[in-house]
Amino acid sequence: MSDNSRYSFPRLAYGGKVSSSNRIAAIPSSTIHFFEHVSVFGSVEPYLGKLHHLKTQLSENELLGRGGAAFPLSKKIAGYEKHRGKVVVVANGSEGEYLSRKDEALLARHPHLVLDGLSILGSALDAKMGFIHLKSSKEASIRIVQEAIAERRGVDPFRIEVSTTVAGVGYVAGSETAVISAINRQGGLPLYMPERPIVRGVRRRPTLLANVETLAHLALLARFGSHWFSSIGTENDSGTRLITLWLPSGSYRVLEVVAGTEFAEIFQAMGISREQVSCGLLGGYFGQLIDSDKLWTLRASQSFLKSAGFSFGAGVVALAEGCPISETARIINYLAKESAGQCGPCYLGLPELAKTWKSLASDNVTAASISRVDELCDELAGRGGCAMPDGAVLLARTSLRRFRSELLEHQGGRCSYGQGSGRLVPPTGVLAAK
Amino acid sequence: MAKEVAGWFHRPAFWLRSDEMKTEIAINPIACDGHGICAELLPELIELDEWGFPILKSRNLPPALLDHARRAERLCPTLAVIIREY
Repeated sequence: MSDNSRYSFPRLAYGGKVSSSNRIAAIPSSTIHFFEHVSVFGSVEPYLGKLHHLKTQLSENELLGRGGAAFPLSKKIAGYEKHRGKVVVVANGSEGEYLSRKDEALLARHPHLVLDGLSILGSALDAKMGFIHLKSSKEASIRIVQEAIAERRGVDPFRIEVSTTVAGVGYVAGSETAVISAINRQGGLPLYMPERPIVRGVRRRPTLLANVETLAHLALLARFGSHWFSSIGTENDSGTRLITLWLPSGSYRVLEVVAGTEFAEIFQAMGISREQVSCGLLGGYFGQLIDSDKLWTLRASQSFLKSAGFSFGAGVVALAEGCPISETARIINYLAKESAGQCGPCYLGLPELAKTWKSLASDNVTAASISRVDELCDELAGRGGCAMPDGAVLLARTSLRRFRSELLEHQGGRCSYGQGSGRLVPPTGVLAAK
Repeated sequence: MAKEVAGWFHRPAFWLRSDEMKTEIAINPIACDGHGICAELLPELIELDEWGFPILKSRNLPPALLDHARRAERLCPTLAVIIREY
């Protein structure tokens, strides 16, 4: 990849199969070890400890966080600048979202690219400590990352001490405060932090969390420069991003797509026709359920989706074949079960919301139950210690608005889709095993 | 002894008049167990939802309510009421 112009795509899916349009690539599963990594991408050393260089590159094109909140990395770094020397950097690869698999796939393929990004970011802020936070259920990826750290030790200077930590179980374990809680060994559940982690996080130090995909992009951006980085993509959204695409059959693919690629093109490349799909979940469980007609007109670009009123979240696009009302019912039910049980409005309110929504999926929908959903949404919004209730409320509100006509059908005792297979939520065995 | 004196001595409320300060009230939703005492003591700002958990009507704490809010802060069984002064 040292010849910048030749290898503008694929990036994170380096070596993977590329579509004929050269805009979609599948991420391969084999790991790139240290020697191959250095021969492909070059050493990271010249880019360490250069905050100014990093800031220049980031000011020329916005790198949005890929963990779900899409917060610009340059703004994040600017906030931590005054804490230089005290900062702890954390690469968050704990993806609590069941439907998101991109972090796992990325860590299995490019552990060194993530470690590069972590050391670039950490050394720029003079951090002494770095953590790479992983999902507890994936022993294989924990082993790969630990081996990668061992491979580099003594060969390549990290400048920061990097160690792996393991997330708690459950959906909320990937949220910012839960990650800090897990690293501090406080239980791995979300904490109440009126002063954000920027003041006091891991070991009571200012803590910068970044998604592993953001760090991998950062490692490439610092190496090859912003001109190379923005050579593909759209004007507002340059570069590429990883998505997890769930097919109606229940299997998934982790793909790297050029920003701005039409969803229709991605679906076509994966061999999905519009007739197979009734609706799709965009952005994961904190996202929105969208009917297939709308979904086919969207593009894989955060700025485009934002202007259309959606968000990419953690890059999940999950296609379903069942009735959108039933699918929403199952997702809200799943979220209610995944509540950490810490805040009253969440552990009491979400089951109530799930129960009410379930009655909408049956054939005796009443106007009272619809208005009860509205009432519960107003009551629950913003009431949790983490964003869990807000996510469920967003899904409920948008589904209610978007599938109003389908609800009227249900009111008349009809359903135009059928129950569906419920593949958008984990099978019950997964929940029981947890 | 000296430490105790320093406690009240250094409290901003001792030196500044409360109407010159910005005072905010917050509830730690994780600590809260829904005892509902805060809503009894500070009904002007806190109401309870259908499960008995507090809903804050406003974050801003007017000076007239400061004493009541302090009582709620002190008497909350889980210490979930938080008053911050700037």
